Amino acid sequence: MSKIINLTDFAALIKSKSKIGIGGFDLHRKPIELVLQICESEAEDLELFGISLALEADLLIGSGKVGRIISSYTGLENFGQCYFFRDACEREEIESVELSTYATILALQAGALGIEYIPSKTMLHSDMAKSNNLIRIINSPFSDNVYAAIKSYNPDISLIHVGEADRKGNAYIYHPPATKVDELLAKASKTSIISTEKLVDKIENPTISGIYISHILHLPGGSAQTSHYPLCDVDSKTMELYSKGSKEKNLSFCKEVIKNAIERRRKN
Amino acid sequence: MQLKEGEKISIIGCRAIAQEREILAGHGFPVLSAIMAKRLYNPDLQICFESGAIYSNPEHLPHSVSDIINYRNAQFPLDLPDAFGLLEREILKTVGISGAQVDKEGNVNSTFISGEPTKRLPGSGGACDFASFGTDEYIFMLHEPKRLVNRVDYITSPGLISSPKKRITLITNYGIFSIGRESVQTIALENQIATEKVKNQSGFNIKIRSNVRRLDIITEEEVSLLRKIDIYKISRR
Repeated sequence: MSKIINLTDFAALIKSKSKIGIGGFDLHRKPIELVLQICESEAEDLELFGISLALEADLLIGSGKVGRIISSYTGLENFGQCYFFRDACEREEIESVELSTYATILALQAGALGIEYIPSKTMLHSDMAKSNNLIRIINSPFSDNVYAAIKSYNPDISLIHVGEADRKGNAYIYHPPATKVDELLAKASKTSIISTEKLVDKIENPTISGIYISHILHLPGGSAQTSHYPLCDVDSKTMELYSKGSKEKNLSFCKEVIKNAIERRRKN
Repeated sequence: MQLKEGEKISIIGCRAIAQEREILAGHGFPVLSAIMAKRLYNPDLQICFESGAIYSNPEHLPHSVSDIINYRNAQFPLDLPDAFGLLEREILKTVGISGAQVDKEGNVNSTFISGEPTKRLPGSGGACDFASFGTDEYIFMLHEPKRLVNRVDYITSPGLISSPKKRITLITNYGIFSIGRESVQTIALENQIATEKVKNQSGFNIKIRSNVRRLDIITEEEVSLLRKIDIYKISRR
């Protein structure tokens, strides 16, 4: 059976209360077009998980789709803040769980390995570890060392944008960052969905093996306005426009900005 | 020369970092200072990024942690898990972070500011990891009472509590300070700043010797380079 689906098929896969893992990192290679589709779907009360989230999380929160968010950062870096996220947190409309960047990676690593947790010394003395269901403080069975046990995380569905994919789902990511992280995300997830710039006959050395990929969408430009190296950098002007729209809480403007950015990137 | 406070931090930080062999630089002031230090004072300084760009030499301030310019000249273009693994194994030891508040024990808050309502900030990214693993830590902070506080509202990135061996250096627009178990000591002050102002603008006690070292006057070369590489003008906000 073909793994290739369209956006309508994709929207039907997203159920309310699903745990959604977002691929990419920071302002790089985010599955923006897939996220836009979820914004228009009937799914709600989603749990978002990402190493470092940005406008994709902001959009979903602004669209009323999110009940809980787990990440190390949700913002636009030099371009500003994510105000739908910030306001929803301050009004306690969503639950926000902050992990360190490394802890989010280790949670996926544990999920990918099928083990319950991974110990690390990160977050050990941070308030982020308090009242956090993903962290427990444990004693080493081998020494007197104390560790933060970082609970495994297994998204129901992960969304990853890649450079190339073949019909079996083998995927190639051109450039770091987040090549290894997206591999972990795919391995940890129950269902992994990729959007790709190019569909090719065969990927010889996949970054992510097709065995972990359930569905493929051919969506050139689908990560706009975030970067996709070496194809394109962040669309700075559009990012500034999004930042303005988020600050003014103008959701339709924000969506329009992103749709136009995808269109422009697709034409190029 | 009229300078913004963020410009002073960047330049003071650049001089402090220049003595290091390598630094894992967090976004913002630490990166700006690191790029400047490598260009002006220590070409051998190795700049590393949490994204996995190790021993890098970006031509200007990146737009984000994920900016490709961090990779362009990197000797070791790795990925996120590698960068943090190098930290946890103490192969990389020196780190630079910033945040919204710092306290007398070197704890940094990047997440919540108390009040009605509580303010939610974007979050700390890798800063907690930097602070948890780094044995030599630079903290960049504007010298204001609301930022230099007796106790941070929330510990995002732990200070001395994470390691008794950790050396913490606080970089502000007023000078360079050492945060120790017993006290916060002044290492050097900005050339013009009054000692009373340094104390008054801090929420914790800062010890300043009467013969405290004064930093050299900021040079045109430093300002010129800073304004050239800070293409997003974060030091001029």
